[in-house]
Amino acid sequence: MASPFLMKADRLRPWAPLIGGSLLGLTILGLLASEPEQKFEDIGLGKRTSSVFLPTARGPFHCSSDPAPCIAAALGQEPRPTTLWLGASQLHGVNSYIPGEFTAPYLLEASLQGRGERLIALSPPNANAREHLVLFEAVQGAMPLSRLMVGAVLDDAGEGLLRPSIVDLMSESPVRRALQKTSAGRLLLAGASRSDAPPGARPTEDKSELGHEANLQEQSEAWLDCALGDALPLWAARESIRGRIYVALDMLRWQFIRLRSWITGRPLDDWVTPISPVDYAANLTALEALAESAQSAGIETLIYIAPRPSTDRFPYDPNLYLDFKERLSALASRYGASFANLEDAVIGDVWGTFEMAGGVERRDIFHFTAAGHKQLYEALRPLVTRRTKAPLD
Amino acid sequence: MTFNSLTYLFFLAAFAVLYWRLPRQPRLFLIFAGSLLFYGFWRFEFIAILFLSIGTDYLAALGMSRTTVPWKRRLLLFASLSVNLGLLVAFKYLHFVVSSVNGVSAVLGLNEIPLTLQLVLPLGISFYTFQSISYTVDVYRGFIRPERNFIIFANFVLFFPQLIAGPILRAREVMDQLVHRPPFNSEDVAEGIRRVLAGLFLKVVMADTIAPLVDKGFASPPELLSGFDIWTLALLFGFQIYFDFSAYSHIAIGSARILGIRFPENFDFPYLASSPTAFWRRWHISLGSWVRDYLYLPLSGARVRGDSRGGLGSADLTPTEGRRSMALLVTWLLMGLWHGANWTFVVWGLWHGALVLGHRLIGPVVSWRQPTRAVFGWMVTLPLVMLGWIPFRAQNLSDVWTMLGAVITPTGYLAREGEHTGRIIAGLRFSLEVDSYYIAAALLAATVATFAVARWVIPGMRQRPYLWISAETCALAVVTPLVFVFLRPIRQFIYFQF
Repeated sequence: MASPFLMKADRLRPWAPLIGGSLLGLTILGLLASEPEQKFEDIGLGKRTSSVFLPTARGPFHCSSDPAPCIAAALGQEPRPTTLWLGASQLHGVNSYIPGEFTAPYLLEASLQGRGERLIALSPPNANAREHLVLFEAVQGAMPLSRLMVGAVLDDAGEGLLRPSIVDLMSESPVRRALQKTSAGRLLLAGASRSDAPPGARPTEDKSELGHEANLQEQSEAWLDCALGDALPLWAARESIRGRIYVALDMLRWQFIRLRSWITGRPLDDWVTPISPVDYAANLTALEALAESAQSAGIETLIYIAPRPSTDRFPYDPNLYLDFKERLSALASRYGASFANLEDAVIGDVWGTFEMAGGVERRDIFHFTAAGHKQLYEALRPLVTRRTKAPLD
Repeated sequence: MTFNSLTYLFFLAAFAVLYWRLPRQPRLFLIFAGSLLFYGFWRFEFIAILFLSIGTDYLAALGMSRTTVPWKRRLLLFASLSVNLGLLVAFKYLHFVVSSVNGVSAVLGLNEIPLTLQLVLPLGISFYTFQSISYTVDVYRGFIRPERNFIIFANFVLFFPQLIAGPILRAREVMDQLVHRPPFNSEDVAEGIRRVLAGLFLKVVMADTIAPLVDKGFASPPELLSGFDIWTLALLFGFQIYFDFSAYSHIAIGSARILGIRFPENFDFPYLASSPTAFWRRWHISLGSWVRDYLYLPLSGARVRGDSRGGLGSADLTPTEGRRSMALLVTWLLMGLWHGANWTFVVWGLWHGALVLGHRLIGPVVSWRQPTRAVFGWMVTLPLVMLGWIPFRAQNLSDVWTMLGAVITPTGYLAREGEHTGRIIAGLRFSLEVDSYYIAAALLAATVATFAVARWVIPGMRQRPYLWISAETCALAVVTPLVFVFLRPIRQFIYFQF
């Protein structure tokens, strides 16, 4: 007769890997979650470059992807002509930052304040033109604008992601109404509310309206998520852990890129970064919609080509870059906007460094020191005060 | 209620506890009420449509058992089919039919039919109507007796693990288990939890990771995509839909197993199939066997003698090859339409019909021996099956032809004059995000590795219990935390839309 111990062990055997494996995995997760919080937005900024959003005494004016704090601060002050500056991490990324130094938006804001105007700067990292379009409509819907400045970066023209905070903005009625007026805006709305079913399958929910009333599933899910987050610190840390996993996967991708370079014999910095044709076309269409929307609202618009280090190899197809500049110049002309090519506006040893796989460093072609920010401000200041139609060089 | 959610996990846990504690009668009502609650989390008002189907079939089956007059039995069967298929046509195909007629009318210069009514498709309607039809047809054929207890019959249709996206069950497979609950077995619960975890992993980690790449690729203007891009998208979507749908099946089977109920398997490593016919014995097995028993065999004039568990059944086949072939193509056309009300799905269905027909004709002629035959068969079947996903996923027929054109014409792979975006390597064009290619290649490699592991590694490990337990522990140490981190109901299951 089998001993009771063996019988019990037999009954527990199916559970052993399940309980043991799950506990082991969750323990490792707990260790991951206990590590110091990483500022994910800084990871993409390069070595020794950090995010700097300097407020003024009047409150925040420079925000990332959520314009609400900046809008609230502006609305809390006396009305004055407002300039909206849309850019990417180049506006808030400062290499080797020392407290007391200033970013280009801060300097411009001070200059505009001196003239009785104000600035709102929005610079989500890797912001693409589609995101800029949504941000513009969100700010424009909240307060009148007198001027719009848009920094155009070729690398961001190949970006396709709409981050969740910007998708949330599209659920606001004024933003949706404004986006409905352009084909690019309508496509954005359709993309945000489309179910992921293949076409031809009938919709199981009427989700044509963003911001629809949450059904029972969504309500219960939100409640459970909140309750678990309060009860379990590990549950609340999931978003941070997901971020770490994506960063680790990106590092793994760099290892493959390094392997590719080793196999082909080409140096790491010798590769051309491809730009997705689909995103390129969609972002240019969105930029056109942005210019059209600004023109119809009577807003003075400046589109500029963002600075890049002129002495370094540019990792993009030069023909594509030329096409990019030409198209932006033509777009500006079509909608009565100003165009400026500021690619050589920031010169000297003011650019940051970017660490590639295996510790190989290369020049960061997007972010610079405070001295570089000053140069950018100096280049933009005269353009902000008058209309400019600078020819391409 | 969607499976990949906290709500479902809490619901399942609470349901399981009550299920194992309640005696028979209250337990039957628990299944009834719990399943309605599960469905009602989406929309309670659509429960009425469920009951229209259930009520009709319950009464029709009872009526058939009370008469031996053939025309009366046929009339009752016809009533059941009319209600079920009528619901399906009204909710799923009316808009498609009217749009198609209007398209033809526009070409001919005729007036269009105004289409103002846009109906929301009730969740699971394609599945529960088929399941219900199988019951009445089996009663008509005399394979089973009708269930007299309405709650028990309703539970067969409503049982929540399979209600929305299958497996499509036969009454003989599950009704008795619902009535006479098997004794509690902790091994069943452990296995059920493992299956649920596996399903959640396939859905929230695998399928949902691939999904954005697929969405972006198929949303792109197809003229911007090269032949390589189309193949890549075909592979990616092929794996996305496999992970997504098999995930649902795993969770359904696992949930039932926790309750001591055994569902039939719905997938059997379909991408290892060495022929199109073999593929359809491994993919959505419950639909394949349903279609065989209730559509293909009757259309081909066969007399069905038993149900097709696992896609294999017994029937007296007609000797006429022509009729069989015609029945095959009609079946596949309808299979395509079942998946969606769009001509793209018809193309997909006919594609697979042609593949199966082709295999039937060519297969006997190829005289190679195993394993060469199997390897060659796999190398031919996999790309053809994957390419078939293009019409399944494409936005419209125009996109389908453009994309297939890029695949079959040599110039579709080449860089074009004046093109600067995307990536050009050795004159060949690549327009998708680079991760798309890496992931597609990794999935292809994983398919080959899966075969090797399933064939040589796992049988050996099973012979060594401690090694097996260690391997399973390590696997779960990876799966469980990933499910924990990525569990969010951000993407619906693809087959919910059917």
